Amino acid sequence: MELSCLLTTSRSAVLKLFDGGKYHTLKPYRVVVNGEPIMETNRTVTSLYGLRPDREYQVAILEGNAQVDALVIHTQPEPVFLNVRRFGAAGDGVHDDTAAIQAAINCCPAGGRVRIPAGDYLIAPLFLKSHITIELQKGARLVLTTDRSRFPILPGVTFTQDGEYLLGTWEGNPLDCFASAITGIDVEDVRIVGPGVVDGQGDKGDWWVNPKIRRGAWRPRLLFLNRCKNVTVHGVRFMNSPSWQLHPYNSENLTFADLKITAPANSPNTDGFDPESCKHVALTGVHFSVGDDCIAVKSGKIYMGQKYHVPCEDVDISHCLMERGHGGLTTGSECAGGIIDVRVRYCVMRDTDRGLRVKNRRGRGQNAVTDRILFDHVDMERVGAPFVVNCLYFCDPDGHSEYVQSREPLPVDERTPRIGQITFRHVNAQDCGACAGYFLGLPEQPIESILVEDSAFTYAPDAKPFVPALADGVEACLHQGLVVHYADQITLRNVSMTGQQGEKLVAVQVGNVLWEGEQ
Amino acid sequence: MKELQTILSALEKDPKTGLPLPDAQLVRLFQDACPLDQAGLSTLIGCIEECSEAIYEHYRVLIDLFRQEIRHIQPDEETILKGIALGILDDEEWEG
Repeated sequence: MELSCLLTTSRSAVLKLFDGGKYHTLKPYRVVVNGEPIMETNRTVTSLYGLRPDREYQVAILEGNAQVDALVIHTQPEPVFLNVRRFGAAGDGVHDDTAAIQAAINCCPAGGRVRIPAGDYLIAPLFLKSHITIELQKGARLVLTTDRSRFPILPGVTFTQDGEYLLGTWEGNPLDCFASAITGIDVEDVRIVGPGVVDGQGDKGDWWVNPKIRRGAWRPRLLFLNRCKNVTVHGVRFMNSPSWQLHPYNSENLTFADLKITAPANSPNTDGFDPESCKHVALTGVHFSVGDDCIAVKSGKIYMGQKYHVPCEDVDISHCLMERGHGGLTTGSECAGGIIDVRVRYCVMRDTDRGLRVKNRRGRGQNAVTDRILFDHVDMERVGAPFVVNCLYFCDPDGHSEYVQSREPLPVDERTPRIGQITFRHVNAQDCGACAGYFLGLPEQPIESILVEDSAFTYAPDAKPFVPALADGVEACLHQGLVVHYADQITLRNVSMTGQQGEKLVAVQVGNVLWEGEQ
Repeated sequence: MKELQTILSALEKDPKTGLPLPDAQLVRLFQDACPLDQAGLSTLIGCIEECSEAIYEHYRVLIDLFRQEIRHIQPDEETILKGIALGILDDEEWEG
């Protein structure tokens, strides 16, 4: 087992205990700090709280009574901390604590900490500023008001002398949206630390009623970061967002560790984590159970893709548990800026509809390149379809049009997207339902390369038929192998499949099929 | 230029909201009618006001066209107020 420290703040640290496990370690361990046993853990990514600023701590990990690894960590300095109670926050779930908490944030000097102690804090949207830490201590809950008249609107587009200034966004377009529970605009060097809770109360208000209708503005999220850098979020539980839960946008150098993100299975559009046009994003040790995609990597629709062309790139997802979402890792459907270098490693997907879900369609534009997607050491349990790539996704009002759905090759033009290289290694998918994988490229722009190696698939005997890809003409299926339409190259290397009906691989208009190992 | 309601009723509707969806044909209709007179500008802002934002690339072309064309004429007050209310015109520049 190898122990490492992923990050420290002034009062907390995030540790990684890697023994080959994924979200959970292979065995339980005890964490000892300065000789004192602090906790037992079976999670690969775990947090320490209650530390003091600018101190050294000896951290040791024991298996039974034997030390297996140790290291020294050093917490960050902290010139001051501000307790929101001293600013007048009641924390009783009744009084509006927005002004008090916002005052504490605004008054916090660089390097300082806004301390939110245990209590229920009813809030309207809060705005971050740079160079601070916000700590939601154990028992602290930020409870978002359900009164939409309390939400400021972030205008989508404000016209300037020479162009436009963008703030709000909704489903890949620059549109007015309500500010989120925690909003950051142009901030840097911020830490949001748990183990408290941010509760969007989506189940209490009317955000989930007629969710596709704009009423005033589009629905808020729980965390929205626009043009931010060097932001760390760890230890917090996010729940019941009005819409997407965590939405970093046009931001970079972001770390999200040891979080829990939840919403009911039937809640609308409660994606867990949607990085959009961001770069250098690390997500580790996060547990998802949501009403839509657990993670959806995005980069806008065609207006943003053509005008700004900001891809989402270098996204590293590790040691996460994705439960019950529509997709474990989804890309798109807003991908007009491109989605490049997304790696999912040592994760578990359980009872999700799909494992990898690539959504794309004609009309996203020639900058909508999805390339270098990697799944490595991923376990799937009872996932309907482990791999789905769908370039005929019937989203948006014209989704069922002849242009989007045609199976005849259309001219490749400035509206045609592209799928590059998709790689799956060491994927163990138990109790699959519909199929091992369903790949639907474009006849005029096939998927460039699919590689599946050292992977195994079994099927659930009691699985029900399921539609793997949301495109016209795709029927529900059951216990199929890998189905590939319109690809240049597919390579299968040491792939075992047990219990499928029919062929292990059904390839339609695939340029080159390479088998190595058992066929 | 056709009447606003005639134009709107010819458009496909957003299945989720029921609002008319701007399309490439609508954009061409206004582009071909440029330079717009007051009647054309009123129809254009009426379309922007009534249409869905969902096909944003077409919706946005209509907005940019409005911002460009309004500078060529003396627009009436109603047109200006609609533009301001929709966030397309700056009130400091256009009011008074």
